[in-house]
Amino acid sequence: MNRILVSFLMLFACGLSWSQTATVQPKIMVIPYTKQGDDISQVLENDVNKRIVLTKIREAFDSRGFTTVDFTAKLKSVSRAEGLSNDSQSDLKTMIIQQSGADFYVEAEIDILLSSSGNSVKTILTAYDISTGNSLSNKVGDSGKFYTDDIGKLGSKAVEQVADDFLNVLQAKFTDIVNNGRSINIEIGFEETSALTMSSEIGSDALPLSDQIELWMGDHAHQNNYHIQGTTDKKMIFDDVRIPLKDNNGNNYNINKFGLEFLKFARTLGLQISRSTANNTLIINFK
Amino acid sequence: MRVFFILCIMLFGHLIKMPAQYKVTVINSTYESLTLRAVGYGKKAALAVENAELSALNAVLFVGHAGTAFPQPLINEDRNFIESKHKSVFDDFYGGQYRDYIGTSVIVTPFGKNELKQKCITIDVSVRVKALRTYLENKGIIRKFGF
Repeated sequence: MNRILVSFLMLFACGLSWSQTATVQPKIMVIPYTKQGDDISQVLENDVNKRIVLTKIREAFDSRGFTTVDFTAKLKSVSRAEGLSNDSQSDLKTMIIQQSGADFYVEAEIDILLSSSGNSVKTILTAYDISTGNSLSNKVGDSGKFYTDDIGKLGSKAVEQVADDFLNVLQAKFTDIVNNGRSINIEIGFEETSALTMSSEIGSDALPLSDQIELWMGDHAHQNNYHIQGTTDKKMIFDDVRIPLKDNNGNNYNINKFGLEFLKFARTLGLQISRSTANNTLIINFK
Repeated sequence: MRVFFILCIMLFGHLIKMPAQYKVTVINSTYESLTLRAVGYGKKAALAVENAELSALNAVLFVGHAGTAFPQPLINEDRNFIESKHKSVFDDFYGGQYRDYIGTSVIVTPFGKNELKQKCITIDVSVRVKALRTYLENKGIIRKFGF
């Protein structure tokens, strides 16, 4: 009897663990602001105050139980992998953002104001969605004037002043994503050898391919929420398509699964596609 | 007829809950906590202190304080809705658990009657806002950071 009871309890516990799929959390990276042409690795290495400000922002995320992608580690791994020299690092920031796998990044600018009436630090924090470039949260923090040379401490104070509110605004945007789906880009084109164009009449109802795609997108975008940037005979770009975070079974849903749905749709039309994803952009080419 | 009219007004007043007003002002704000000067009312000093502490906590929970590190309320939903949705949690919270999130409670004006002859007390209440947020997150009242 006891064994049956224990078995039943174990089965129940297993059932519970299966039914609760943990939501995949977004990846966020905190990076320093750099001017055009600045060497981002040197900017960080030469300035301890910038490192303090970045650490303070990461600390704010940590205090909410959220782990960020470490920018310095990514910088080192990208530099190692690509064998980059200092001369070729002008667009290293973009490369790190693209290769980090982060969904969002927070850019932090620090402005030090020295004066005879006291020193102060201003920080500008901006969170971006990497896939769409949308700015999600913006805050300017000001340490206030103090008679101190400890710029790092002033930087910390400036961040502390706005960090909580900055994260609250970001969280409001995350809640919007949970409710209304997350945004991806989709670029649909043709391979060079393809005889198809967007106006080719396809399917049993002989509709132009672009219309077939749009009808499908309307059905499959989360709550019919999508935006077409433009359509030409050779390309169709959706700059904002909302996909849900979870499918109907409660499992995590992502851009690859959306791409798979599109593959199935193409097959129902008797067409072949190739697809790839990078930075929340789904690239589809008809063969 | 007059009695009926008065009864109707009383019933109407009972059904419609007026938005709460909290007599609190910000004294100090840090990255972790908020110190508020709160006025509490009650027939006895202990009740007035409790009323003042709950006013301070409710102001943090449902109002927020501009110009501090916590300008937004911790709970962005209607108070009546959220309190009825998580009734057992709030019953425990208002029943005494709220004291875990009060750092200090210092009397500014001792218990006595004010100019309107109401018995009240003024205290400076330090609310541990970060710890309070973690509590609300763990109880499922507000979302944890992220999706």
